[in-house]
Amino acid sequence: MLIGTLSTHHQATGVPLSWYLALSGAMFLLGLLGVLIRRNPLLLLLAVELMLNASNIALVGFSRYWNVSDGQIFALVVMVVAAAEVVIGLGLIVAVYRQRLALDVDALSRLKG
Amino acid sequence: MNEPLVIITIEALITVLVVLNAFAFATLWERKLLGRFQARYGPNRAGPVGYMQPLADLLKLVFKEDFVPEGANRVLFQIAPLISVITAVTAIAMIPFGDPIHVDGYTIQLVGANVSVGLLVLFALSGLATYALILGGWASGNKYSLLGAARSAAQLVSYEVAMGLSVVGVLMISRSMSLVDIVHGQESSTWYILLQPVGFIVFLVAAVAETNRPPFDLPEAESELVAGYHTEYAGMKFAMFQMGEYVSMMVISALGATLFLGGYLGPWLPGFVWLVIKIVVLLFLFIWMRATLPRLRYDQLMRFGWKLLLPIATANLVITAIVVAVFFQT
Amino acid sequence: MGERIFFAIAAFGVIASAVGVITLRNPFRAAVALIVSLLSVALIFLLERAPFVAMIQVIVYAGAVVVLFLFVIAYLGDKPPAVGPDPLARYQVLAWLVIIGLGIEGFLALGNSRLPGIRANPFQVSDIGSPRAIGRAFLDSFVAEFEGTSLVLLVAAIGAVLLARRAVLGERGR
Repeated sequence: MLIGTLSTHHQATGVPLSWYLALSGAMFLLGLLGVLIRRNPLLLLLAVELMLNASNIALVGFSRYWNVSDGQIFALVVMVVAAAEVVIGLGLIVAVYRQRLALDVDALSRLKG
Repeated sequence: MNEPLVIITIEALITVLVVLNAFAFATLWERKLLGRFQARYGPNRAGPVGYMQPLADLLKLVFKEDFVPEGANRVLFQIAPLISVITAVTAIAMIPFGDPIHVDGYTIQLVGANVSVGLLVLFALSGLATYALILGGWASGNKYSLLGAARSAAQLVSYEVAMGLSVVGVLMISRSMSLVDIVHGQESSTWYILLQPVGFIVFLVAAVAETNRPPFDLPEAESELVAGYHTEYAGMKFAMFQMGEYVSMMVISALGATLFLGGYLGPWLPGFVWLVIKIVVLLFLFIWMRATLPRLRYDQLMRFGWKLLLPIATANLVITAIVVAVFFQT
Repeated sequence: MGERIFFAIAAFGVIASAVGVITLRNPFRAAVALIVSLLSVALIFLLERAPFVAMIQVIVYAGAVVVLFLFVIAYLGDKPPAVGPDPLARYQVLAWLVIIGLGIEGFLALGNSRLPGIRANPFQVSDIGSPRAIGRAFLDSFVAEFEGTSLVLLVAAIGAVLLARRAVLGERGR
């Protein structure tokens, strides 16, 4: 609502691409930190979702920069793949839980018993 | 949306006030209608036709103790009813109430926000409404609440899919997701209920399930699981859950009226009045179903949603797509 | 100016809730933090002229994926599973070093980038984000991706059903 009134003289109007990329990078690094540190596979999947969303922000930002829809298409594909991966990941976690194994990715990384 | 901020604020205030009053009288109307269906009068003590009954109920609920049960998560417990109300009331911004009117040199749009994805915003808000249930059920710290909430959430997610599919037929005919465009489309051709009867029926059934109304209200019925996810809620928080339920019922009726019954279109009465009439008709259907149909058991409910409703919606979609592609290609 | 303020609010929401997702111990609260994060990302999408993607983000991610997470968390119980002390604790510092190193590198790369207009105000865009534009793009240029995506969904659905069947059969044997 106020955008039209202030943008005629002011120089600072839109959000530059570098800001979107910085936000995307920060979110991605936070997600990566979560993946590296967390041991509970549920919390690890949550951190993976952060990384996927970070890449979506960058994709859609570039799509706006180049004035095409391609980035948004790719972001939708990434969303679908993320949803599919969450479904399978959660199914695996529930299967592991039912086998009475500990929910710890470090312990599960050794294929024993 | 180029109106001054003042007009937008006034519009929003009027809409919210009207909706909250409508909620109050909708509860009264439902109880009186149920009474008549059951061969008795509804509430008629509080005021002439019982019209002070909502006020009496509100006063009762306001004066009840506002507590948080021990072992509950304070923050989420208090946020859950808020989510229910906020998602329901925000959805009203997408419904068009009439053609733009001209007052004082200003052109006032009678819709909160005419966005190109108006229909999707409504679906997004109804998707967010499931969190009111889940968070409320979990944050109560009560096994029955959690179980009721989980069942309710599973039901909502299942019927959301069927509702979305039932609407895609309308989208294919109107070629736009904006509700204003859909109403204009019905202005030039006919009401879409004549072109998409199966879609309308599927939408109606899914809408009853989405709002947790009987016969799909097992997760929250008073005789099952001690009222499900709102077992531990009393006083104003319970009132807010009720408000969320009735307002979302009205919003879904408005959506059904806009998509299938022509929205605000109609001869000589102002558009707004026609829309209200159509909403009242759909609400009557909701209440009628509550009065007459027995409750579905949970597994029957899920089986019905996935094995009957979803294939019908998909078949409707495929047939509509073929017909539109073959006969109405521009 | 209004856009920048909106961006600042949404970006703060994103970063704050992302920090919450990776630090909160209780899985339920971490999932709620993720909901806030996803809704803030939807706001960013709206800023980037992608209304369709923003609504799909809310419907699919915040409205279905996190609900799945909450179901599993409710099923597994609330208290974090009692695992012993972290055997890899002394390698955690490497993780921090990697993150900080990548952060510095990214900062330098962004600062030295010579992509034209990357730091300037963006110019007006035409209609790239409406359902019409997305539909056109899918059907004109990206049909293969469209079909591939449906295949991925089909495979995931089959996989989920199989996983559930195995678990049910496994429990019946006891």
